[in-house]
Amino acid sequence: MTVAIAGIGELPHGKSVGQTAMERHEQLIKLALDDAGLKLSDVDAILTVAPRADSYLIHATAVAEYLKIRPAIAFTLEAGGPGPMAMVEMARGYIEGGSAKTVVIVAADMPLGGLTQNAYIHTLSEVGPVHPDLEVPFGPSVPSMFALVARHHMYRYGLTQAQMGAVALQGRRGAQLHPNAMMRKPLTMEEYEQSPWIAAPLKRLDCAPVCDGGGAAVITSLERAKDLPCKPVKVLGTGFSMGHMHLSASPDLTDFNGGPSLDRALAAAKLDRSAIDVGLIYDCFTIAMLINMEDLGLAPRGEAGRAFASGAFAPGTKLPINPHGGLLSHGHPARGAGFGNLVEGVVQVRGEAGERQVPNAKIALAHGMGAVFATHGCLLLGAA
Amino acid sequence: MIHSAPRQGRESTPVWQAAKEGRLELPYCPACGKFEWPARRTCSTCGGETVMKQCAGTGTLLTFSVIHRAVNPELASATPYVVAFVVLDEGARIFTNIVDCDPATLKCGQPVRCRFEETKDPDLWVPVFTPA
Ligand SMILES: [Zn+2]
Repeated sequence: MTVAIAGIGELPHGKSVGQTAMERHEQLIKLALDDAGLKLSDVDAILTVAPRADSYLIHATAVAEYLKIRPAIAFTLEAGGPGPMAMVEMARGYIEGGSAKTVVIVAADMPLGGLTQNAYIHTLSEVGPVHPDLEVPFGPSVPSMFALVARHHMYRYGLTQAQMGAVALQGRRGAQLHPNAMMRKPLTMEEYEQSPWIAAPLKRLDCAPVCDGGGAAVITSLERAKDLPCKPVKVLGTGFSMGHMHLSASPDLTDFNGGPSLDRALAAAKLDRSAIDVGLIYDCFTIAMLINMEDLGLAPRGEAGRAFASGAFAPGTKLPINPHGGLLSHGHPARGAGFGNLVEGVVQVRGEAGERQVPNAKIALAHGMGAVFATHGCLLLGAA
Repeated sequence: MIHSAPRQGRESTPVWQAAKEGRLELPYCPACGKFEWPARRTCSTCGGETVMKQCAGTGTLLTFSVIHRAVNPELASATPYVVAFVVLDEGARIFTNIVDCDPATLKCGQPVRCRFEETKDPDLWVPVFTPA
């Protein structure tokens, strides 16, 4: 692959006051362009994910108008949690195909400052993982759909509550070292256990908190990036896969066809799983982390919980996972979710993660997942 | 709990209409011997027309979640309530509620039995399950 991530932009996650979603997009894009050593006038393609906080049908065009630019390409993408990875893949296609030279990708949302958290969560629960006609009348919530998978994993493989807690605790320890993370207070297993049920067997601390946030990045050709005053990170491989849309349509409740997304990315990069130095795995819930690790083939089937509890994926191990805290503690910026994994992958490969830096991180895996284990996207990032 | 009214005129409507008359019926492809859930009018394997096939209403609790925080404000007073996947004895797996039970005593693999509850639409009812 011949493209690089030339710049990234991220802002502190949390509840913003007095800012609009459009202003947040502008800020993130300008941060990413500054980081790349490029200007708004260089942008000839912009890709966005429509935030719930704004209601534009062609959101990318609204963003371009707001920025007062007229790029050839202004497209809005719908791909769920792998959206950032999918936007990198689209950017690669435009650049390698000759349609664009400088592609800005952005995904951000304001579920706290823009619309209410309840309104956001209510919308989410009725738009995808459950069938709108057949299943909504039974009153499902998004956490309850992940809880169905967690309970099944408990029944089938012996997953325990404390093993899910270990995922929450590890994420929190990472977030304490990240200035942009939303949840930075120390967390103990006792606090996890006392956390109230949201949808048993998931507790509040099994659920990633939605926050205002997101990220932006600038993609250009590797050749051009090397001439810019930036630290480019090479896109080594991209891969995607899907299993279902409605959870009830999945033939299995612990195996969701995520593995091929990583297989495809590794094949493109001519690497195998042992080459990955740091994994940024989509963890909107603790159970999502565990199932995704198994689905991606990074933990044996049924064993991810035991592995996490034993510290197998902690800093200092062979495969440190989510040093930035993941969605669970770095935060879940609604339609911008997943961008944090891409940004952390870039930061780690650049060696700029400060206290949470994985030593000698040459190859990072940034993973995104959409709906309830429905879609998967993997990016492999390496030094340019 | 009060079930929100399913939208009318879609693939699911025959399921709810049968439920109102006290029958658990699901779309089934006679050629492939397979149920379709989510419901649809044509078979996802062979493309043939499905027929509504009556099930006995007995099955097994595959997995469940006890919802303590409802997202629909109308269901806040119904918490805690249980959503579940149930595998019917005929082989279909459906999404439903488990009612008339102490959620703390539910166990994966236990037998369950169907009954029907009304929705906000007086013409449409939904199948729910109780411990058998
Ligand atoms: Zn058929």
